[in-house]
Amino acid sequence: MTLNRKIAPGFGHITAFSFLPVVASKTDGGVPCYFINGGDEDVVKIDFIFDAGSKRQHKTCLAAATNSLLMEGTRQHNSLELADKLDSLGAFIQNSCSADDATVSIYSLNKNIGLCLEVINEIFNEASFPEKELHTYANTQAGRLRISQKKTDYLCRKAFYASIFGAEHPYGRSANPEDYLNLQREELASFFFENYSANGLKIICSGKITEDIQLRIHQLTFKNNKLQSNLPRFEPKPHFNKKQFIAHSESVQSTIRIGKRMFDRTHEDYRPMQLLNLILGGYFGSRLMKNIREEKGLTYGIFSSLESFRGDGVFYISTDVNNDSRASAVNEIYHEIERLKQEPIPKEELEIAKNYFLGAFLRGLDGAFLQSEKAKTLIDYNLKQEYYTELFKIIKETDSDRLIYLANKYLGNNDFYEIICGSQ
Amino acid sequence: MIHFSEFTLSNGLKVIHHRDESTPLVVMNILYKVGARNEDPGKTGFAHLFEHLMFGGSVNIPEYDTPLQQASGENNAFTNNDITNYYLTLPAQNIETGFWLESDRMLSLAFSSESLEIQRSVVIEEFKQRYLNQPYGDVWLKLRPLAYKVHPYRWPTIGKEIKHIENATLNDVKAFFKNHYCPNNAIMCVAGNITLERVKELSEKWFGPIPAQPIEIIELPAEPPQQKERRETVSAKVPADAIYMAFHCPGRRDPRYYAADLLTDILSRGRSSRLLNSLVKEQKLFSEIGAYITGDADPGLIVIEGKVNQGVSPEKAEMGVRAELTKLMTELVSVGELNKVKTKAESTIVFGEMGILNKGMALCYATFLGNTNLVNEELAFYQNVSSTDIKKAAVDFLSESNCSTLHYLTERA
Repeated sequence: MTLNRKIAPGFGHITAFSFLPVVASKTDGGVPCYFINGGDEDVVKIDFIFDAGSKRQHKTCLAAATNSLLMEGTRQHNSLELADKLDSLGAFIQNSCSADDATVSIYSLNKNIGLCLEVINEIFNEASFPEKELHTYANTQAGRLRISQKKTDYLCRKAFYASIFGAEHPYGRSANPEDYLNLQREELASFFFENYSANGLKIICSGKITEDIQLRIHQLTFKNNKLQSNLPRFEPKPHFNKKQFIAHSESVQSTIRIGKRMFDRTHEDYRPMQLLNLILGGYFGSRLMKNIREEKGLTYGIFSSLESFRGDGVFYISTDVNNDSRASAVNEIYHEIERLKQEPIPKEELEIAKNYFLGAFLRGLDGAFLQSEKAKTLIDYNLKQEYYTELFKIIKETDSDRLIYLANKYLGNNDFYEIICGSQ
Repeated sequence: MIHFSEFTLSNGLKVIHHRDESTPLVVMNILYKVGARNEDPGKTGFAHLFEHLMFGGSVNIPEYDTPLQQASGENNAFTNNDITNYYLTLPAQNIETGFWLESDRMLSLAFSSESLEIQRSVVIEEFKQRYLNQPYGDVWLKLRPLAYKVHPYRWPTIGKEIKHIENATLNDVKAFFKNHYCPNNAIMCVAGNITLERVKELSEKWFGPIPAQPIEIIELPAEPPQQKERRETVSAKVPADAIYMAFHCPGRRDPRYYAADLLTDILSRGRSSRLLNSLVKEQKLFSEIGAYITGDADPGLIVIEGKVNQGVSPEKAEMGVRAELTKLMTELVSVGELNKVKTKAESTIVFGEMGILNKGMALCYATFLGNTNLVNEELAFYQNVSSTDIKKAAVDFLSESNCSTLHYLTERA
């Protein structure tokens, strides 16, 4: 029998997602913790998520600096001693800070997790924010920021969020090198005292979880139980001018970002909008990639994104093109948006997009670490597990009419901000 | 420990299988033993441009991506100086789609001139976006030819210059395919929720009929030992002076590689490492600094790169680095410090191999280096390194005469 290579082998559809159980409990002191057990490797990841994001800061960079400086000294040990302990245990520590929260994640071999947790617990209870470590941190960050400020994609992104939310809003704010250099250690210490409290803390633990690890997490003690103040209401102050050109002489390419304010993932239209976003610019087979990269060769990449913050969100399209291709790229972007509003999506294209969407989701569930990210999303937004089982159904059921309706409802041309950064 | 089985088809295609029943997915990783080092010096950037063309349709299948996405799959590829690596992930039930797509493009491409024109401009935009439109983005375009005079590592994967990409013809593309893309020049790993029997059956069915090709093995010129230090200074509109120091060191197959790798870990792995604590925190010469090994198949480089603090001269900053290197050449590292970087190497290996895609890539790469089981043996090589080995590595590789130094300075108006 000869092989007919022109005919594709048959393939099946994804029929369901399977989730590892998320087991919720509390530490002896009452901090909520969640365990996601899975995997053969003897490794574990623990996320400590504090309600200490930049929404709570009264000075730019304060939240991020406090988060990073946690590791740089306690009352008992200096920065080098702490680092030496954690490095000797082969642990990786990741600090991250967003507007909504501040996280410290540890990745550790199971055999060393006990000692890691001792160090981490000491840090959360006794971080001391030494002056000289703050100085080093500020200097490094200021240096990195000066480099970013030479990049068109950074400048464009910064202007985009500032235009939509206003430069004083937590989602619109950005830093200058001086902001880092102006921080005082007392400010970090007091931000830490006010916000790194067991009251706002959540712990997510994933990997190969033994009883011993559960016990150790339950026994963690957090001395600070302060009730945090209520967050103020942040009203966006959008820029009146929707088109902005940022001159950046000598750049060989321009970055383009076109987008608008949207909603967070709890909105009823968020999940079907994820499908619409995918079709427009959310994967390699998207309309924007096909048109602007694969047919016209104008760019190395173009993508669109639906981004959820707590209580808010944005949708945007971003790309880098030659300075003299700017106008045609912008036209093509609007043209593709217009098509979504006017034309039904061909059956085959819609099916491919749905299959791809579900495949991507399935890949995002591969292993306990990835599943812990999905669990974090549910916890952050106070959502139930059904959110994802419903997602499966929503994607299956969303049809072309619904997508046209959504495109008309949410992608109105007059709402778009258009930011371009490049040389004149 | 990664369990695997290996077999070779009669056309020379090496196949590795790793089973993991806990995942709903299967990964297919195909490594072609061709990278930028195999390019003609007058036609650089070609292996990478070719990688793009591999998505422009094959002899029987007009489009690569669409049927894969239809079957809920995802794919990507990368090229480096040594290899070109393609990978895809599919729900386990749909893996035959991967066999169909990958075997057809190994058989032959569509060789469309339209695809060449489009991908040529995409790659030129990539060149600009990643190498020209970033501060310090072109550093490897300058550092490589300083460090290498003979070996083809003297140009980066993207190519020496845009001109070479502009000049590529369809005949070049065809010749490149013929010389490098064939079963006897490839290594495939299928990993995930799939049995060995099924992998054998599908490999025979789809890859078995592809004929082997004669491959012309061209011996690459070895880089002669560097006799004296090399220096270059450039300036551009960057916000801080930067220093790059590149030292020749062993390739990935050399037993001395492991000491050289740990040497860079002692210098800059983790918050407790030497360069950060001495040069950034204490002496305040740099705002940041790092050291790493390139890990190439042929003899590669140990690179130290740092951004110099405002008000510090690059010369003074470089002397600070030198002093740290001298310490490594003259004093033995303590057992504690050595054990620290070994433990870190262990957890890097464990975390680096999480997930079937990482395992599939690691297995193919180890086979490329000559021993698939290196994925399991490697840790012992790191654990066997002694303080004396580290000192010897420092003496052998970190001398001034073995160093190419690039000062990348802020343009002063």
